[in-house]
Amino acid sequence: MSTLPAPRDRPDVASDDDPWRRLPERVALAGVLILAALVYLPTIGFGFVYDDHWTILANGFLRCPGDLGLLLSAQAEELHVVDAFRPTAVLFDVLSYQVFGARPAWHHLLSIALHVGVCAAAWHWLAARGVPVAIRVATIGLFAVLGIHAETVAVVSYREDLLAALFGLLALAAADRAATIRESGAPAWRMGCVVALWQALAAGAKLSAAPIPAVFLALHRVGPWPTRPWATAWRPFAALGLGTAIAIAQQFVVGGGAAPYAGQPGLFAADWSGAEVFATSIQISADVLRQLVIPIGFAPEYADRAAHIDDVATVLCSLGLLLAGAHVAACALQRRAPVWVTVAVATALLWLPTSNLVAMPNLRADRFAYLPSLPVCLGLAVAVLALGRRLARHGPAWLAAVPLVALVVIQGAAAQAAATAYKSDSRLWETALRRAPHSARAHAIMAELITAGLANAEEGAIDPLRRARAEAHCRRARQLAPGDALPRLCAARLAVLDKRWSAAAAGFAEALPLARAREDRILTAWASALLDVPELSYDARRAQAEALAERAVREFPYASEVFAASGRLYHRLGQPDRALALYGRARTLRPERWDVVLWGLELALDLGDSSAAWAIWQGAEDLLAGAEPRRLDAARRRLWDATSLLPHAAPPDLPLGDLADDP
Amino acid sequence: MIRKFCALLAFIALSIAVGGMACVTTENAPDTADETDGAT
Repeated sequence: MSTLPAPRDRPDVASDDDPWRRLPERVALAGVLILAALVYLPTIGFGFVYDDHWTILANGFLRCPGDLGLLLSAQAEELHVVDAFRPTAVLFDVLSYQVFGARPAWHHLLSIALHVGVCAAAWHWLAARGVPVAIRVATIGLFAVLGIHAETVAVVSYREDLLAALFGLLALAAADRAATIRESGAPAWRMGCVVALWQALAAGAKLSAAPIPAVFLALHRVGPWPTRPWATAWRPFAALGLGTAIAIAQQFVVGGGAAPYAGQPGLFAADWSGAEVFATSIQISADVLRQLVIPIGFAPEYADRAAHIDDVATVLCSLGLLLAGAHVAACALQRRAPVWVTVAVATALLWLPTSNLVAMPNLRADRFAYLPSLPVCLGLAVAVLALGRRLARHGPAWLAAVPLVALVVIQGAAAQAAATAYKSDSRLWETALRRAPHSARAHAIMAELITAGLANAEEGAIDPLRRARAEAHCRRARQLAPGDALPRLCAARLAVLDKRWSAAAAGFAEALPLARAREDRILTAWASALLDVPELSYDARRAQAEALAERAVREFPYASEVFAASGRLYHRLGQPDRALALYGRARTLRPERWDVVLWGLELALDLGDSSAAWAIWQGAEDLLAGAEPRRLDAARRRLWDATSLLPHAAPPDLPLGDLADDP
Repeated sequence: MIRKFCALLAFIALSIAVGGMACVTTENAPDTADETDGAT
């Protein structure tokens, strides 16, 4: 731990009689880290939700560590490698999958550990900046439990924000240490390399860490704590810039530009006028600042509606932010209120990447505030400590801690409550609908969730109420976003449920060109529906379905669903060798899928190879324990009949037993 | 001081747990009868 600087004669700095100064630093740090872990401990029981399905579970790239080199070539984008423009996050996901598999509890534990790591790195950085221990305890204590962090910590796939913050803060701490090196010899170069590496990893996890070089520079000019002369600060600044440049260069190589979502259709920030995006962003920024201080109104989904420049809310928010900006500028010029200037400048810089200057799929999300919330916590910490000191002057000494404790408890309770929304998909989208009833996406996904649940029901046992509910959500989604792919997709899935194959095929065909991403699931669902369209001749159905399946296989070689569904399609078309190859690839890309194993078992039984079917059954016994009981029972009965009635049937010349092996 | 700090942490952790539960239970329970992780 660094030596604490002597407190200065300022209200924002701890005084000598401050009780915090009697607390050993290590104990204080351990305390806030334990608090950070305790708040999110309940998330260990949560499942995979939200983007976890396609970035973790169905993302076959995580099961192919030998292909990681693709992240340095344009091929990654062509082959639809998920989040290829975030190489640090992908690498971390590959490693964590290799260690923990698809067990959600371990992944949630990892997210908590990362959050604790971010808190430790933030402490480390503030210590390197010479921030007094009382302010450090209060800042990190607040950051550890801040309500708006619930989404980032509770959803496994949003650890990209945790990684960006962790490496970014390590880069800042290393840069501050590097700024103390006066000579330009080997130690300075070594330190520069370390700084550049941390920053490249941070910006490679998510470009929300890109403004860190600017934050470093700004805090060295305006911060209340020790500043370094430009003669020693330029080297770490250049190293931070180099790290950011490396990450941006990777994005250019992979996606051909710094805006990874630029090519997607239907992005509001791209479709709306500049004035509308600006007005919406101003309102969002003001509301996020409010949420950081008053922790209510968190949501997994916010309805994106264009605001106008002459809206009262836009005018008021602009005025408020403008006045704050003017006050910060005046304070900076007069060298007054350095903490306020530090907090405002750092927050504004860190908020820039997610303030819709670059088009993104979501205009707003709680996770965007993860890193920018750190300087806000610093400001809140200084404010509550000052308030505490004022209270203690008029009463007992313990009153000094009351404002901080109250704020930590309120924020922590809000964080725990907000995190429960991410326990399961149904809970998440139910909460999303309550918070954002005008979100077309929330309605469409809720319809898809209900339809998926109904698809598992027995023939003729579909609950008409749930069916009606799914349709109502689907229609509402269509009303809210007539030009979006998701309402068409949920309507098509409902048509599949009703066995209205022509309507289903038409729905999937309409949805495909409108889709922003994940076209693989539309292609495979469309191919499957086409096989049953009565208006088409058998040859036409077959040719079109095969063409779509082959396109999906070609364009999405890491999507497990593509190979599973295409294998099923060829299985139905009577092409066992192709079906077997596709099932095998599906098993490699997602070994946790029990339905692919059952389909492989059915293939073996259809070909009369009961011994291969038996080998598959035995080889996947553990996996099948989690299978849907009705389908498992049907497979068991079929297997029993086959082994009893046709024990010596001539097996086909196919390596069916390969499906029994654990990939 | 360390004991006081530990006691304070324990108090904060308990208060957060109680407060978190209180915040959750003030809302109607969401309909999770169709809980599945298949569609999204």
